[in-house]
Amino acid sequence: MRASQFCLVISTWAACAPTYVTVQVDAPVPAHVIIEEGAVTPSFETDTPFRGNFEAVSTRTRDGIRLLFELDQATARRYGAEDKVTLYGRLAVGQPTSLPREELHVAIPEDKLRALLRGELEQVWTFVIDHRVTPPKEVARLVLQLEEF
Amino acid sequence: MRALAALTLALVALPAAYADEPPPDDAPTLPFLSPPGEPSVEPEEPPVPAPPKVSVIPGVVDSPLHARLRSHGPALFAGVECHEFTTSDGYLDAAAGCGLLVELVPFDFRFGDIHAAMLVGGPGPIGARAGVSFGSPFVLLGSQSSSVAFALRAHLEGVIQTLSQHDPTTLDTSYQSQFTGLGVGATFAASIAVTRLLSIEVQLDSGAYLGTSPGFTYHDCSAACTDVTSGEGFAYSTYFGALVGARL
Repeated sequence: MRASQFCLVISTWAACAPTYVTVQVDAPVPAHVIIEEGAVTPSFETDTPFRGNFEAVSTRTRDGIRLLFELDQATARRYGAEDKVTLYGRLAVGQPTSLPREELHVAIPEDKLRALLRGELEQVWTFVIDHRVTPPKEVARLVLQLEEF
Repeated sequence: MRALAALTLALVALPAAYADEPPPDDAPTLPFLSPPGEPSVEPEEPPVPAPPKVSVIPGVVDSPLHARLRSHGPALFAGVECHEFTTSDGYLDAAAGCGLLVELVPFDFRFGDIHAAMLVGGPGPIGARAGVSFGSPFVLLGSQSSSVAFALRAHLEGVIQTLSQHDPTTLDTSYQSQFTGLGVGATFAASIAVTRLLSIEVQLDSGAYLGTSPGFTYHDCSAACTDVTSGEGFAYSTYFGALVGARL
Protein backbone atom coordinates (compact mmCIF):
# COMPACT_ATOMS: atom_id res chain seq x y z
CA MET A 1 0.00 0.00 0.00
CA ARG A 2 1.38 3.32 -1.00
CA ALA A 3 1.85 6.11 1.49
CA SER A 4 -0.96 8.24 0.12
CA GLN A 5 -3.37 5.32 0.32
CA PHE A 6 -2.21 4.59 3.81
CA CYS A 7 -2.73 8.20 4.78
CA LEU A 8 -6.30 8.11 3.55
CA VAL A 9 -7.08 4.95 5.46
CA ILE A 10 -5.28 5.75 8.65
CA SER A 11 -5.51 9.55 8.37
CA THR A 12 -2.11 10.10 9.91
CA TRP A 13 -0.12 13.14 8.97
CA ALA A 14 3.07 11.15 9.19
CA ALA A 15 2.03 9.04 6.24
CA CYS A 16 0.88 12.05 4.23
CA ALA A 17 3.96 14.14 4.86
CA PRO A 18 6.60 14.10 2.14
CA THR A 19 10.09 12.83 2.78
CA TYR A 20 13.01 15.16 2.29
CA VAL A 21 16.66 14.25 1.89
CA THR A 22 19.59 16.64 2.26
CA VAL A 23 21.70 16.60 -0.87
CA GLN A 24 24.80 18.67 -1.62
CA VAL A 25 25.80 19.15 -5.23
CA ASP A 26 29.54 19.80 -5.36
CA ALA A 27 30.36 19.86 -9.06
CA PRO A 28 30.54 21.32 -11.61
CA VAL A 29 31.81 24.30 -9.72
CA PRO A 30 31.49 27.22 -9.94
CA ALA A 31 28.22 27.31 -11.81
CA HIS A 32 25.05 29.29 -11.61
CA VAL A 33 22.17 26.90 -11.11
CA ILE A 34 18.53 27.43 -11.94
CA ILE A 35 16.06 24.99 -10.48
CA GLU A 36 13.24 25.01 -12.99
CA GLU A 37 9.66 25.54 -11.96
CA GLY A 38 7.26 22.67 -11.78
CA ALA A 39 3.52 22.31 -11.97
CA VAL A 40 3.08 23.71 -8.49
CA THR A 41 6.64 24.66 -7.53
CA PRO A 42 8.44 27.94 -8.22
CA SER A 43 11.78 28.44 -9.92
CA PHE A 44 14.84 29.00 -7.74
CA GLU A 45 18.40 30.13 -8.39
CA THR A 46 21.62 29.36 -6.56
CA ASP A 47 25.29 28.60 -7.19
CA THR A 48 27.36 25.48 -6.85
CA PRO A 49 28.24 24.03 -4.49
CA PHE A 50 24.79 24.08 -2.98
CA ARG A 51 22.91 22.12 -0.41
CA GLY A 52 19.18 21.68 -0.03
CA ASN A 53 16.45 19.49 1.30
CA PHE A 54 14.94 17.79 -1.70
CA GLU A 55 11.73 15.86 -1.77
CA ALA A 56 12.39 12.17 -2.20
CA VAL A 57 10.28 10.78 -5.00
CA SER A 58 12.27 8.44 -7.18
CA THR A 59 15.74 7.94 -8.59
CA ARG A 60 14.36 7.65 -12.10
CA THR A 61 15.90 10.39 -14.20
CA ARG A 62 12.59 11.48 -15.69
CA ASP A 63 11.20 12.10 -12.21
CA GLY A 64 14.13 14.25 -11.17
CA ILE A 65 14.24 17.92 -10.35
CA ARG A 66 15.17 19.87 -13.47
CA LEU A 67 18.30 21.98 -13.17
CA LEU A 68 20.22 24.31 -15.45
CA PHE A 69 23.95 24.62 -14.79
CA GLU A 70 25.32 27.79 -16.38
CA LEU A 71 29.11 27.71 -16.64
CA ASP A 72 30.83 30.99 -17.36
CA GLN A 73 33.62 31.16 -19.93
CA ALA A 74 36.46 30.62 -17.48
CA THR A 75 34.82 27.60 -15.88
CA ALA A 76 33.76 26.19 -19.22
CA ARG A 77 37.32 26.49 -20.51
CA ARG A 78 38.60 24.74 -17.43
CA TYR A 79 36.40 21.80 -18.37
CA GLY A 80 37.51 21.89 -21.98
CA ALA A 81 34.83 23.97 -23.68
CA GLU A 82 35.64 27.03 -25.72
CA ASP A 83 32.90 29.31 -24.49
CA LYS A 84 30.33 29.53 -21.75
CA VAL A 85 27.92 26.66 -21.74
CA THR A 86 24.62 25.59 -20.22
CA LEU A 87 24.15 22.05 -19.01
CA TYR A 88 20.76 20.47 -18.52
CA GLY A 89 20.50 18.37 -15.40
CA ARG A 90 18.15 16.17 -13.48
CA LEU A 91 18.58 15.56 -9.79
CA ALA A 92 16.59 12.52 -8.79
CA VAL A 93 16.26 11.74 -5.10
CA GLY A 94 14.80 8.44 -4.03
CA GLN A 95 13.23 7.37 -0.81
CA PRO A 96 15.92 7.07 1.84
CA THR A 97 16.78 3.77 3.41
CA SER A 98 15.64 3.00 6.90
CA LEU A 99 19.14 3.54 8.16
CA PRO A 100 20.06 6.88 9.75
CA ARG A 101 19.95 9.60 7.17
CA GLU A 102 23.07 11.42 6.16
CA GLU A 103 23.81 14.28 3.86
CA LEU A 104 24.32 12.99 0.35
CA HIS A 105 27.07 14.47 -1.80
CA VAL A 106 26.86 14.27 -5.56
CA ALA A 107 29.50 15.60 -7.91
CA ILE A 108 30.05 14.81 -11.54
CA PRO A 109 33.72 13.74 -11.90
CA GLU A 110 35.85 16.25 -13.77
CA ASP A 111 36.97 13.78 -16.42
CA LYS A 112 33.35 13.00 -17.24
CA LEU A 113 32.55 16.70 -17.50
CA ARG A 114 35.47 17.18 -19.85
CA ALA A 115 34.27 14.30 -21.99
CA LEU A 116 30.77 15.76 -22.06
CA LEU A 117 31.94 19.22 -23.07
CA ARG A 118 34.26 17.80 -25.71
CA GLY A 119 31.34 15.90 -27.20
CA GLU A 120 32.73 12.47 -26.39
CA LEU A 121 29.75 11.63 -24.19
CA GLU A 122 26.14 12.60 -24.67
CA GLN A 123 25.24 12.28 -21.03
CA VAL A 124 27.13 11.96 -17.77
CA TRP A 125 25.85 10.99 -14.39
CA THR A 126 26.80 10.14 -10.88
CA PHE A 127 24.82 8.47 -8.16
CA VAL A 128 24.86 7.63 -4.50
CA ILE A 129 24.27 4.07 -3.40
CA ASP A 130 23.65 3.07 0.17
CA HIS A 131 25.65 -0.12 0.61
CA ARG A 132 24.58 -0.54 4.20
CA VAL A 133 21.32 -2.13 3.17
CA THR A 134 20.83 -5.41 1.38
CA PRO A 135 20.56 -5.22 -1.52
CA PRO A 136 22.36 -1.89 -1.93
CA LYS A 137 19.95 0.86 -2.84
CA GLU A 138 20.45 3.89 -5.02
CA VAL A 139 19.29 6.99 -3.16
CA ALA A 140 20.29 9.90 -5.39
CA ARG A 141 21.32 10.50 -8.98
CA LEU A 142 22.53 13.54 -10.91
CA VAL A 143 22.46 13.47 -14.69
CA LEU A 144 23.87 16.17 -16.99
CA GLN A 145 23.71 16.60 -20.72
CA LEU A 146 24.13 19.33 -23.28
CA GLU A 147 20.69 18.92 -24.84
CA GLU A 148 17.34 19.45 -23.19
CA PHE A 149 15.76 16.38 -21.71
CA MET B 1 99.87 41.36 -30.54
CA ARG B 2 96.61 41.78 -32.47
CA ALA B 3 96.05 38.03 -32.41
CA LEU B 4 96.44 37.94 -28.63
CA ALA B 5 93.91 40.77 -28.24
CA ALA B 6 91.35 38.99 -30.46
CA LEU B 7 91.73 35.75 -28.49
CA THR B 8 91.22 37.60 -25.20
CA LEU B 9 88.05 39.29 -26.58
CA ALA B 10 86.66 35.97 -27.75
CA LEU B 11 87.21 34.31 -24.37
CA VAL B 12 85.40 37.17 -22.62
CA ALA B 13 82.47 37.44 -25.06
CA LEU B 14 81.70 33.69 -25.38
CA PRO B 15 80.19 33.12 -21.89
CA ALA B 16 78.20 36.31 -22.22
CA ALA B 17 76.62 35.07 -25.47
CA TYR B 18 75.64 31.72 -23.90
CA ALA B 19 74.20 33.49 -20.89
CA ASP B 20 71.44 35.04 -23.05
CA GLU B 21 70.14 31.63 -24.14
CA PRO B 22 67.60 29.86 -21.95
CA PRO B 23 68.80 26.63 -20.42
CA PRO B 24 67.72 23.47 -22.21
CA ASP B 25 64.58 21.78 -20.93
CA ASP B 26 66.44 18.69 -19.88
CA ALA B 27 69.12 20.58 -18.04
CA PRO B 28 69.55 19.11 -14.59
CA THR B 29 68.53 21.41 -11.80
CA LEU B 30 70.86 21.84 -8.95
CA PRO B 31 69.72 22.14 -5.38
CA PHE B 32 69.77 25.65 -4.10
CA LEU B 33 72.78 26.08 -1.92
CA SER B 34 72.72 28.68 0.77
CA PRO B 35 75.88 30.45 1.64
CA PRO B 36 77.61 28.90 4.60
CA GLY B 37 76.17 30.04 7.90
CA GLU B 38 72.75 31.03 6.50
CA PRO B 39 69.61 28.92 6.90
CA SER B 40 68.36 27.23 3.74
CA VAL B 41 65.34 28.85 2.07
CA GLU B 42 62.48 26.47 1.33
CA PRO B 43 60.56 27.17 -1.89
CA GLU B 44 57.12 28.61 -1.10
CA GLU B 45 54.16 26.29 -1.68
CA PRO B 46 51.31 27.69 -3.76
CA PRO B 47 48.46 28.90 -1.58
CA VAL B 48 45.69 26.35 -1.11
CA PRO B 49 42.49 27.81 -2.49
CA ALA B 50 39.79 28.18 0.11
CA PRO B 51 36.94 25.71 -0.32
CA PRO B 52 34.06 27.35 -2.13
CA LYS B 53 31.27 28.54 0.08
CA VAL B 54 28.30 26.22 0.04
CA SER B 55 25.04 27.90 -0.87
CA VAL B 56 22.17 26.67 1.21
CA ILE B 57 18.72 26.56 -0.28
CA PRO B 58 16.30 27.67 2.41
CA GLY B 59 13.35 25.53 3.26
CA VAL B 60 12.63 22.50 1.16
CA VAL B 61 12.60 21.84 -2.55
CA ASP B 62 9.49 19.98 -3.59
CA SER B 63 9.57 17.74 -6.58
CA PRO B 64 8.22 19.55 -9.63
CA LEU B 65 6.43 16.46 -10.81
CA HIS B 66 2.76 16.77 -11.62
CA ALA B 67 0.77 15.22 -8.82
CA ARG B 68 -0.77 12.69 -11.16
CA LEU B 69 2.61 11.49 -12.39
CA ARG B 70 3.89 10.53 -8.99
CA SER B 71 0.86 9.99 -6.82
CA HIS B 72 -1.18 6.87 -7.26
CA GLY B 73 -3.39 7.48 -4.30
CA PRO B 74 -7.10 6.90 -3.99
CA ALA B 75 -9.60 9.01 -5.85
CA LEU B 76 -13.27 9.81 -5.51
CA PHE B 77 -15.39 10.95 -8.41
CA ALA B 78 -18.95 12.10 -8.88
CA GLY B 79 -20.82 12.93 -12.02
CA VAL B 80 -23.62 12.10 -14.37
CA GLU B 81 -23.96 9.04 -16.54
CA CYS B 82 -26.71 8.39 -19.05
CA HIS B 83 -27.84 4.91 -20.16
CA GLU B 84 -30.24 3.52 -22.67
CA PHE B 85 -31.04 -0.15 -22.25
CA THR B 86 -32.44 -2.23 -25.06
CA THR B 87 -33.53 -5.85 -25.31
CA SER B 88 -34.01 -8.11 -28.25
CA ASP B 89 -37.77 -7.61 -28.16
CA GLY B 90 -37.44 -3.87 -27.74
CA TYR B 91 -39.31 -3.82 -24.46
CA LEU B 92 -36.58 -1.99 -22.59
CA ASP B 93 -36.40 0.97 -24.90
CA ALA B 94 -37.86 3.14 -22.21
CA ALA B 95 -35.38 1.97 -19.56
CA ALA B 96 -33.19 4.94 -20.07
CA GLY B 97 -32.11 8.03 -18.27
CA CYS B 98 -29.31 9.85 -16.54
CA GLY B 99 -28.31 9.16 -12.98
CA LEU B 100 -25.79 10.25 -10.42
CA LEU B 101 -22.61 8.22 -10.58
CA VAL B 102 -20.20 7.96 -7.66
CA GLU B 103 -16.93 6.20 -8.34
CA LEU B 104 -14.20 5.18 -5.93
CA VAL B 105 -10.71 4.33 -7.15
CA PRO B 106 -8.91 2.68 -4.26
CA PHE B 107 -5.97 1.42 -6.27
CA ASP B 108 -4.29 3.32 -9.04
CA PHE B 109 -1.32 2.30 -11.13
CA ARG B 110 0.78 3.89 -13.79
CA PHE B 111 -1.16 2.24 -16.59
CA GLY B 112 -4.59 1.82 -15.02
CA ASP B 113 -6.64 1.40 -11.90
CA ILE B 114 -9.14 -0.75 -10.05
CA HIS B 115 -12.41 0.99 -9.44
CA ALA B 116 -15.96 0.55 -8.22
CA ALA B 117 -18.94 2.74 -8.95
CA MET B 118 -22.57 3.16 -8.02
CA LEU B 119 -25.24 4.67 -10.23
CA VAL B 120 -28.25 6.20 -8.51
CA GLY B 121 -31.22 6.93 -10.70
CA GLY B 122 -31.32 6.86 -14.46
CA PRO B 123 -32.41 3.55 -15.99
CA GLY B 124 -33.20 2.11 -12.57
CA PRO B 125 -33.14 2.95 -8.90
CA ILE B 126 -29.61 1.79 -8.37
CA GLY B 127 -26.75 -0.02 -10.04
CA ALA B 128 -23.25 -1.08 -9.20
CA ARG B 129 -20.19 -2.02 -11.15
CA ALA B 130 -16.57 -2.81 -10.48
CA GLY B 131 -13.67 -3.36 -12.78
CA VAL B 132 -10.30 -2.39 -14.07
CA SER B 133 -9.09 0.21 -16.49
CA PHE B 134 -5.90 0.12 -18.43
CA GLY B 135 -4.27 2.31 -21.04
CA SER B 136 -1.80 5.12 -21.34
CA PRO B 137 0.00 6.69 -18.43
CA PHE B 138 -0.75 10.32 -17.76
CA VAL B 139 1.11 12.58 -20.15
CA LEU B 140 1.83 16.23 -19.55
CA LEU B 141 0.10 18.65 -21.86
CA GLY B 142 2.69 21.07 -23.17
CA SER B 143 5.82 21.88 -21.25
CA GLN B 144 7.24 19.89 -18.39
CA SER B 145 5.95 22.46 -15.94
CA SER B 146 2.42 22.11 -17.21
CA SER B 147 -0.23 21.55 -14.58
CA VAL B 148 -2.43 19.56 -16.95
CA ALA B 149 -1.94 15.91 -17.78
CA PHE B 150 -4.18 13.53 -19.64
CA ALA B 151 -4.63 9.85 -20.32
CA LEU B 152 -6.75 7.63 -22.52
CA ARG B 153 -7.82 4.31 -21.09
CA ALA B 154 -10.13 1.40 -21.69
CA HIS B 155 -12.10 -0.28 -18.96
CA LEU B 156 -13.74 -3.61 -18.33
CA GLU B 157 -16.38 -3.98 -15.63
CA GLY B 158 -18.88 -6.34 -14.14
CA VAL B 159 -22.30 -4.71 -13.86
CA ILE B 160 -25.45 -5.25 -11.86
CA GLN B 161 -28.09 -2.66 -12.64
CA THR B 162 -31.72 -2.46 -11.59
CA LEU B 163 -34.04 -1.32 -14.32
CA SER B 164 -37.34 0.49 -14.23
CA GLN B 165 -39.97 0.15 -16.88
CA HIS B 166 -43.39 1.64 -17.18
CA ASP B 167 -46.36 -0.47 -18.03
CA PRO B 168 -46.62 -0.07 -21.78
CA THR B 169 -50.39 -0.10 -21.55
CA THR B 170 -50.98 2.33 -18.75
CA LEU B 171 -47.57 4.10 -18.50
CA ASP B 172 -48.28 4.95 -14.89
CA THR B 173 -47.14 1.74 -13.31
CA SER B 174 -43.46 0.92 -12.92
CA TYR B 175 -41.98 -2.53 -13.02
CA GLN B 176 -38.61 -3.47 -11.75
CA SER B 177 -36.09 -5.80 -13.22
CA GLN B 178 -32.37 -6.04 -13.33
CA PHE B 179 -29.51 -6.38 -15.71
CA THR B 180 -26.39 -8.44 -15.21
CA GLY B 181 -23.50 -8.29 -17.60
CA LEU B 182 -20.18 -6.86 -18.60
CA GLY B 183 -19.29 -3.34 -19.51
CA VAL B 184 -16.56 -2.17 -21.84
CA GLY B 185 -15.68 1.39 -22.65
CA ALA B 186 -13.14 4.11 -22.99
CA THR B 187 -12.23 7.00 -20.73
CA PHE B 188 -10.50 10.25 -21.48
CA ALA B 189 -9.12 11.71 -18.27
CA ALA B 190 -7.60 15.12 -17.72
CA SER B 191 -5.83 15.87 -14.46
CA ILE B 192 -5.10 19.34 -13.13
CA ALA B 193 -2.47 19.61 -10.42
CA VAL B 194 -3.64 21.62 -7.44
CA THR B 195 -0.96 20.91 -4.88
CA ARG B 196 2.05 18.68 -4.56
CA LEU B 197 -0.12 15.58 -4.21
CA LEU B 198 -3.68 16.65 -4.90
CA SER B 199 -5.10 16.82 -8.39
CA ILE B 200 -8.54 17.46 -9.77
CA GLU B 201 -9.48 15.04 -12.47
CA VAL B 202 -12.16 15.25 -15.14
CA GLN B 203 -13.22 12.07 -16.89
CA LEU B 204 -15.33 11.64 -19.99
CA ASP B 205 -16.32 8.07 -20.53
CA SER B 206 -18.41 6.16 -22.97
CA GLY B 207 -19.11 2.49 -23.50
CA ALA B 208 -21.57 -0.31 -23.65
CA TYR B 209 -23.06 -2.95 -21.38
CA LEU B 210 -23.76 -6.41 -22.68
CA GLY B 211 -25.66 -9.00 -20.63
CA THR B 212 -28.96 -10.55 -19.75
CA SER B 213 -32.15 -9.50 -18.07
CA PRO B 214 -34.84 -11.76 -16.56
CA GLY B 215 -37.36 -9.37 -18.02
CA PHE B 216 -40.37 -7.56 -16.60
CA THR B 217 -43.48 -9.35 -15.55
CA TYR B 218 -46.65 -7.31 -15.54
CA HIS B 219 -50.34 -7.99 -15.36
CA ASP B 220 -51.85 -7.42 -18.76
CA CYS B 221 -55.61 -6.99 -18.67
CA SER B 222 -56.03 -5.51 -22.10
CA ALA B 223 -57.86 -8.60 -23.30
CA ALA B 224 -58.00 -11.30 -20.66
CA CYS B 225 -55.93 -10.61 -17.57
CA THR B 226 -52.69 -12.53 -17.70
CA ASP B 227 -49.10 -12.23 -16.53
CA VAL B 228 -46.77 -11.27 -19.34
CA THR B 229 -42.99 -11.31 -19.22
CA SER B 230 -41.14 -9.05 -21.63
CA GLY B 231 -37.60 -7.99 -22.09
CA GLU B 232 -36.28 -11.38 -21.09
CA GLY B 233 -32.92 -12.51 -22.38
CA PHE B 234 -30.26 -10.57 -24.16
CA ALA B 235 -29.91 -6.88 -23.27
CA TYR B 236 -27.43 -4.14 -23.85
CA SER B 237 -26.94 -0.50 -23.11
CA THR B 238 -24.85 2.31 -24.42
CA TYR B 239 -23.81 5.04 -22.09
CA PHE B 240 -21.79 8.18 -21.72
CA GLY B 241 -20.87 10.17 -18.67
CA ALA B 242 -18.82 12.96 -17.20
CA LEU B 243 -17.12 12.80 -13.82
CA VAL B 244 -15.18 15.21 -11.67
CA GLY B 245 -13.11 14.08 -8.76
CA ALA B 246 -10.05 14.52 -6.64
CA ARG B 247 -7.09 12.26 -6.27
CA LEU B 248 -4.53 12.17 -3.52
